[in-house]
Amino acid sequence: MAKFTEKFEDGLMVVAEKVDDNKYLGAIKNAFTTFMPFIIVGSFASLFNTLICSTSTGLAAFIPSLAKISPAFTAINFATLSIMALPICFLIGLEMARRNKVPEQICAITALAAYICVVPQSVSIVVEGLESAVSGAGLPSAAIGAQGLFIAMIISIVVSEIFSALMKVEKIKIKMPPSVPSAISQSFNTLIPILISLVIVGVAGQLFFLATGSYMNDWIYTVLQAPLEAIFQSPLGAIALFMVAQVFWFLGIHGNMIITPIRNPLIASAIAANIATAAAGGIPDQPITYGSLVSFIVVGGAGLVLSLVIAILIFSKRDDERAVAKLGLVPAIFGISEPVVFGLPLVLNVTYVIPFILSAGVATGSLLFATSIGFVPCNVVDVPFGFPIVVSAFIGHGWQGVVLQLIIIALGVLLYTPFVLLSNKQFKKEQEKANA
Amino acid sequence: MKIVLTCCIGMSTSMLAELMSQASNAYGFNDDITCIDSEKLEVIDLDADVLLLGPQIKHMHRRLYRRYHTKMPVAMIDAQDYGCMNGENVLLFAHDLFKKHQCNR
Repeated sequence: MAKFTEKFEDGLMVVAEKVDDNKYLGAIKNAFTTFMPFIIVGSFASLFNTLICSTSTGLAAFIPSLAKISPAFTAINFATLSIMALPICFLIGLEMARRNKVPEQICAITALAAYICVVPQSVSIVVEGLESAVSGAGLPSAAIGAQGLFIAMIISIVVSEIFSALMKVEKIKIKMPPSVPSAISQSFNTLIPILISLVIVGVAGQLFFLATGSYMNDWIYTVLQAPLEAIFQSPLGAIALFMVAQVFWFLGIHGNMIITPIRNPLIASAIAANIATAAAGGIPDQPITYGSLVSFIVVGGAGLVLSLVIAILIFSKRDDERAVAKLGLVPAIFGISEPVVFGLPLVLNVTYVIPFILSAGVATGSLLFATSIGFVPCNVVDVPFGFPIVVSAFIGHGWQGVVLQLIIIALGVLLYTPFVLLSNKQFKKEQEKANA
Repeated sequence: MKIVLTCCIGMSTSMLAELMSQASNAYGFNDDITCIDSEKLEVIDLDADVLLLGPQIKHMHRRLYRRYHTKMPVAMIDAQDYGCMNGENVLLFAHDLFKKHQCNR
């Protein structure tokens, strides 16, 4: 048994190191981390629209002229969320260049240009009164918005690799006499790699279109992104993913950090979809967003640590546990679990392993249940990490969110209580043994 | 001396950094103790005397060690000290590492 756990531990450690060390996953992770503030700001713009410019729910009910500035907030929303494939494409190119040690901005712009090459460069609009659709120059929203995220990630990585490989070929560098300043010769040196990269991707995109009759971005969306989104938002997929994160936490590794490369693109597209649906007058239907992650799934710290702290403070008679719980209470209210995870410790603690891993499933399941029965709305306002409980849920999900958050914390207390009692029993036995 | 702590976004280490600063002032060391997001360490070129990692990012230790070990000691903070937020222990650990690193040079 001990051998098996050791092997299991080593195996997961290797996975964690591989994910962390992987160039592509690292580039994606950092690109989304950089872009995250813009997603939150974009979602706040829609909050301002409701609070200020709406004539039914906002200040505009009293000062009607405020409704006129609504296009400004809609524009902020568009400029951050509805075009997110473009900055993500750029940022991944930048991160890739850093890792490959090639000129950063040039690689990033090449990636962005290559992406624009493979998506349609015209939009068609159906105009009332005309029989056929009218088309004009422009980038379709499916290509620049969240629907384009995966293809943008793929193109950006592929192009950065092509560009970086070409930059290392000495033969295609344009030789300048030594008297030419190095900055100038460097800009000439990048010419041919940019040209070849764009030609390869552009031609490949066109060939793909000729062969399949659809654009690459539409195809990747249909065969890859849409199914992944569906799995991620489904009970089974979401519960499994967040429980896997807990298994890593059990080993003392930041589990949610390991799953970010897959999680972040999906939560970004979810909040964008919710805002787009709400703007079109529909009811948002993507429950798992960054806001719901911090408000519900990892409320009180990953593994519902706040619930454990409460359970210990109520039921435990062990002084060591109570001391850690007291120290960890305030951080846990703000969603920071480390003092308890490493202080109790929960790491490799067999007594608490079951509730520690199950808690993520309970929290995710409760969230999905509450949204599916329509009690809690799917959010259009994302909440950054670090807000205390109640406040975080209220910003993103309103009062229903606060109720759900408190219910999840209470369920967590119920889940942990038997194990707190068990640990007390074990402790008592050990002491009796020691005294005997 | 300059001690840098790092973890996922530098939130839980910032609590420890505060306690370490207090301990440092009490000892009269007056160290400069700061926190940084572990992702940033990949991008910037850190300049510090000691780099300490929170236990939750032990999977990054090998990579950060490779990158920085010639310039400064790179080590994991003891999980128990981290959990109990024992600023004094971690501070003394950092000073110890620094001294050993100087000797090995």
